[in-house]
Amino acid sequence: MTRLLACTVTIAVLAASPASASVDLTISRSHVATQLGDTFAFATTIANTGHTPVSGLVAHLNVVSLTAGVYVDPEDWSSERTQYVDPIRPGGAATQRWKVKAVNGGDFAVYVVALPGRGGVAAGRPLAVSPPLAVHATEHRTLDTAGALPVVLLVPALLAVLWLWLTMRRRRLGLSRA
Amino acid sequence: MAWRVVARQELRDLWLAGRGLPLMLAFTVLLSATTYLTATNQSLNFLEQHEAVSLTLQVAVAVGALLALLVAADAFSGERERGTLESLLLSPARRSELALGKLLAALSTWLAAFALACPYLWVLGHGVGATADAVVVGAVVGTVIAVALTGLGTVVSALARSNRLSLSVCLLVLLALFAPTQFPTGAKEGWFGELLQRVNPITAGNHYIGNVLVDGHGWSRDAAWLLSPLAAAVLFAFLAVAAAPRFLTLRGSGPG
Repeated sequence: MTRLLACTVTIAVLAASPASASVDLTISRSHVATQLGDTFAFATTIANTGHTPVSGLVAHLNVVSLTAGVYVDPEDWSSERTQYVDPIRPGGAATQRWKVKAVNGGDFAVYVVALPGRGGVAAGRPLAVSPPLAVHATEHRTLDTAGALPVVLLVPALLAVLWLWLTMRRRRLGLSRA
Repeated sequence: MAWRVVARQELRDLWLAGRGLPLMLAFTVLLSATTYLTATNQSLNFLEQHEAVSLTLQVAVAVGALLALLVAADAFSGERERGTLESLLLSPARRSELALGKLLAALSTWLAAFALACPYLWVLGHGVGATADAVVVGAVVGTVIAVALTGLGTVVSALARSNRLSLSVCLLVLLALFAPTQFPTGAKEGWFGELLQRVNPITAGNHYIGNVLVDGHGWSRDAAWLLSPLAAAVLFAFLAVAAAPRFLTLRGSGPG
């Protein structure tokens, strides 16, 4: 009787356990050194370490600057930041591939969160989070005012001179505007 | 080869005595402002450099094609309004040759605009090796779009009763074509959003430019996106040269 009761309690606890408790997130890389503008890829694996199938998981990628004052818009880093994960059987795993583009220079952390789906979120279940991927993006700027100014000023100036010269020449020749 | 005579005369009127140079001056001032802001302004400098090249090229294609459309929209309706269409129609040149000469002259506006855009593309793109790609993709996509728009402008101009009507219709169509570029990202997703983007020659051309310059896709990978610009170019060039001149009258056929 005691065994039966213990078994029932165990089953009840497992059935009601939050998805995150039986889900483990790993990441394929821990560090990325890249240049501003370059794209890098990595993968995350969600493993179901529990005894019941897990379904409805939503994997979401986020990017955070580790330097105060550096603005990050994750939309610019990755256009596909949300992936809906197929059901995972007990002991099984699902892999998500992510492509990210470094659009700011500096030190950043990229991580993936597994949300427990509509029912789990409504029930207030905790999230499962991957280890962070440390990203160091080197600035590679070749644009500056000094480099751009000659073209920015010269092209319109030359056109203006040409136009004025043609207009004055036509006036001198007494030609009317067509 | 009367079209050559017509084209030569139109080119002379446009570039030596007309509005070709002032239009190009305004165009280069706009490109200078865009390039300077991209290079120096902190609020724009977060743009990755390939994106800066793509943005500048898309501005160049859009405004260059707009200028070509404006010139084409004046082709016949302008002559009609200035009272010179009658003598033009009485010349031995066939109407299709008149239309071809005028279409080529209007297209020269785009070619000049693109040539002027090249130094800006070099300034923005040479540091990341994007200049050659930008020039080639700009030449291909921009020329196809410009042919489509000059064809459209010539057709409307041949049919419109007044220059004002011709310009209004052309600008309205152009605005309608550019409107989807301002849609939020979500509206461009899904099969219908993608279909709208592919069917519209302007959005399809811009998408192709972005894919090649920003995403680094190969030339052939997204070639299907060029189908609608190519189809529009062939259709409107044909209509402008072969069909619309048949309906060319001294008074025009539209209201106004």
